[in-house]
Amino acid sequence: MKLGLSHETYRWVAFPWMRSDDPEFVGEMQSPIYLRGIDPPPPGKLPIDWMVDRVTAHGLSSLAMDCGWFADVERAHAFRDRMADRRLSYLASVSVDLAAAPDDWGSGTYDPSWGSRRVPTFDMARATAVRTGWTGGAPFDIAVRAMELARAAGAGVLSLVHGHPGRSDHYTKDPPIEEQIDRIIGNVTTLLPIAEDMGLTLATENHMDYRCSELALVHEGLGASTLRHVFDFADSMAVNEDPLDGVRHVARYTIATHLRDMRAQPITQVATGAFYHTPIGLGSVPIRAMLDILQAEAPDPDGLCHYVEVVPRPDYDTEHWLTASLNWLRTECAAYWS
Amino acid sequence: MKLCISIACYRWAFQPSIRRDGPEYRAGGGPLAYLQSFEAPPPEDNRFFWMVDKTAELGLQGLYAHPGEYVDDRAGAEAMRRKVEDRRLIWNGGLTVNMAATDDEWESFEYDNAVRQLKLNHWAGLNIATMTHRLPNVHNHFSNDPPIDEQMARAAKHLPTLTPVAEELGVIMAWENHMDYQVAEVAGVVDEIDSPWLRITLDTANPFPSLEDPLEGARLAARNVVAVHFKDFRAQPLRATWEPHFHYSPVGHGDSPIGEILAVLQAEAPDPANLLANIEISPPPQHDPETWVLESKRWLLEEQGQYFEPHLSVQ
Repeated sequence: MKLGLSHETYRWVAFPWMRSDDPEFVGEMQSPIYLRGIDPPPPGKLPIDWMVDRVTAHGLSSLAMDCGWFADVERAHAFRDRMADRRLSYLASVSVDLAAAPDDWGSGTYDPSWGSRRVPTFDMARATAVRTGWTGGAPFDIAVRAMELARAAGAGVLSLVHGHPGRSDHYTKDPPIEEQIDRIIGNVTTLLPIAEDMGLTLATENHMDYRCSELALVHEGLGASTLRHVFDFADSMAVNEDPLDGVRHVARYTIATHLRDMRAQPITQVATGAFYHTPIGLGSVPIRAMLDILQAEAPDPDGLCHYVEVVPRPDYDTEHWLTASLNWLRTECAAYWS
Repeated sequence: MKLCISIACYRWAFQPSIRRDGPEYRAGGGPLAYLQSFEAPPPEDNRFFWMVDKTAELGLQGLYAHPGEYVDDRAGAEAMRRKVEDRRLIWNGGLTVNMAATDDEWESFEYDNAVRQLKLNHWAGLNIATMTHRLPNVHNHFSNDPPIDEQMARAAKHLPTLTPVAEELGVIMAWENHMDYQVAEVAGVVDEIDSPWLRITLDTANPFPSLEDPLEGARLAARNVVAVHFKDFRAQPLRATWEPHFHYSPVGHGDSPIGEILAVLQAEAPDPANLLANIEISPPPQHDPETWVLESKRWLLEEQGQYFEPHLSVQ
């Protein structure tokens, strides 16, 4: 198994729409940030090159990043060449409403010329800490455009990230969860042949939206070797699922992970319990037991890349947490890394 | 089922260490409560007596409170008993025990402390005492020293020493999943001990922070459930910080499948007609608990009325 970097690690540091050194951040009653372990990238643009530098700086082998950041095929090609020069690989992702109703999903027909239709784009002016910047088309169109950009950027896998405000999830009841799963199966079915033609593998991802047991139903329903899973080590906790149970459900489909940790505080003074980010190894997620399961059951454990996704609250020092997390992984879990 | 209320509903209003009009609360910087629909008792008043009167005023059938939190002798427990009887209410008592105690801890303190509390419940005239874990922040589903299996093994070893005492005193100990252990873990030990003096109090929302589905928990526990705490949370799985969050909600307004849980309990609980069904909401301190209690009661009687006695009214 290998270690990579998820660009979300630096979300509060580098994402233009949520930088904690932006005056708007403090204007929204957040605390100013002091004593960072790393200088943020220049403001105002998407920090693609900066992210690549962070991968190299931490001695990692791959980067997971939203392919909408490339905006066009030319920039995606330039990224591909830069990554090749550094012998790095790339996992692409896109935010798309996988459970859209059939009438909202889109045509289901791919026209590479895009004809008279508007080409979907990632507009960083629309993005927020929870909302995607992808805009300009039905979910099907967004997914297809993402496939084009992912392929041009040299990715072999495109992760379809569903979790988003306003989209259905484990807790929403209209439609019921069974119908949501059916919709996902139907929608992904329209994407698989296009991905296959492009030489891409698609992946589901548990992203604070569905239980792994629910996404496993999608895989069982489709039975497609070109659909795999990106497993997030902590997101099961957001949908009331034990992470260890979660990985058991999807390990046999998992080709990449977001490796992170979280501490569960089951009883609190306000009596609701609470979950908090932690550096990897200091939380409640049974990391080693889960790595054991993935090592034993993943379709290609040697090629499986764990994208470290350390996403502390903005008032913590991200770089300090990331460095400590990598140290813990490299010392306490050394046996897993090739 | 008997529709009752947990004293915890008003905890921010009158519990000495946290009451929201107290100096400790203000020093903690918490938001203050304004425009409340009720007046909390002064700190020097007997808050248990106040709660008994409030229970009757709310048109509920009984209340849940641990006698050991208010008195430490027989006379005090009997005075509480008379107050409840005067109001013709049911009382769901309680005790607290370190479920993961070592042998030394059990023998040097926990056993005697549990017996003392059982006697208080007996003197107070109670026959069901909800049993909560005394050290939930030290030992729980997520703590590793000792691991959860060892914690449950200790509970399975020590609790049988209490069941003869419970039988002698006529007090059923009803272990609650209290934001510490999964219902599956509680039910596993209760099944293993298999005593009519050790049953379960099921909380309908506490499985959330223990990463357990509340309905699955109810199915595992139902055959031993003698009391229930109606609590509801709204889950917020995705937030800006990516830390999921549970918000309290009035019963019926959250994500706990309370209707389905009630159906399971009605079908499988040992005595559903006398099951002590306590509303236990505890909204954030600045909110008005009484409006939440009344809305929870309304929802239970209007949406789930088939499980409760027909003379109960929303008003």
